[in-house]
Amino acid sequence: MPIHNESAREIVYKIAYHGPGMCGKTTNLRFIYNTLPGRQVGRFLVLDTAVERTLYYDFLPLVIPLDDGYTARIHLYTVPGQAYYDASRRLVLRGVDGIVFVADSHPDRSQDNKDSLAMLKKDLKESGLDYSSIPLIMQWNKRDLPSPVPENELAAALNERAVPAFPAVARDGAGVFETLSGIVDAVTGST
Amino acid sequence: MPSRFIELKVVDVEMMESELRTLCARAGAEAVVLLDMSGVVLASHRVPEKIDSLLIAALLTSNFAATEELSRRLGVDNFRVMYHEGKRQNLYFDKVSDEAIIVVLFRDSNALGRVRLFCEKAIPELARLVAGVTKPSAPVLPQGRAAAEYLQRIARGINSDGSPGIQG
Repeated sequence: MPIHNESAREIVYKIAYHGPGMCGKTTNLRFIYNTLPGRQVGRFLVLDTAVERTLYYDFLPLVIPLDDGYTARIHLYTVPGQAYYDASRRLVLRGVDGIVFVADSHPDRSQDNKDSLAMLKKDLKESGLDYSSIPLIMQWNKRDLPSPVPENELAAALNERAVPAFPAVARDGAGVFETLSGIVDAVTGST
Repeated sequence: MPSRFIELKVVDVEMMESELRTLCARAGAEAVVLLDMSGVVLASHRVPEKIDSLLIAALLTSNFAATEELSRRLGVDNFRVMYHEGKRQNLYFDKVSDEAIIVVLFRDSNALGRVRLFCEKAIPELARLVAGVTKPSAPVLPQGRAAAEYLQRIARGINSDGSPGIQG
């Protein structure tokens, strides 16, 4: 849940990136880490396997200085995409304030996207959270593929809540910050 | 908007820090930290500045949560205490409530039982303080809006710098 610490003059939000394995969740965080100035990002923690699949989670804290002397801390997490890491995913979802669902635009991953969304709903429910009301943003990643699934098809299959959706090529950074600002908008009630 | 949030006034943090200071002294501990379950430091006492507290907080809470999940799957009810034994320093975790845990760092010259005893004495008051700062609904904070606007400016800047245009 969000934390407003008047003593430290900071607000803290927790956001989790969810989606099927190898869809680009860690790539999103890596681009954010490499783009923001060093004083605005903490250490990028990656708990992965030898083949760079997220084993437990990635963690990237953002430290955004605000004009009034306050600091906004945005804690970004990714969850492991593989179905058999359901316990790890639920741990990361504890106290989460908003979700970015990253879908893979490759036509062969359509079922994986649907399965992952179903897992998200189940994981949230088991964490005491409600999919229908939690702040949520969709990202259609890998739009640079030769024949990506059209966005309207992804939306029809995955975006039943009609939340904002952002096309992205996370590897190049396109759409990464639009997605991030979108979920921060949703979580902070700015929109 | 999230349905619940934690609002820490200056006086709340002072009261939590006072409890942690007392616990630290009675337990003979090196440092104590009070964390919410999402991995954020609510209050601490004597945590060295050189420690990356953001990272450590995330690791401590996920470590506790993982063991709690393991216990649940093994049929262990009411899991609330965890202990790490190091070469010279040890970590003691105790669940304050569903919203928070405390983690105590202490030397091996100190007795685990002493740490555990004074943690158990401190927990009711810490639980009361945490419950007191947990609110049922999150307000729209101007600082949150400013953070969102800052990230939007970055997004616009990256686009104008020539990142590839995305077509649907």
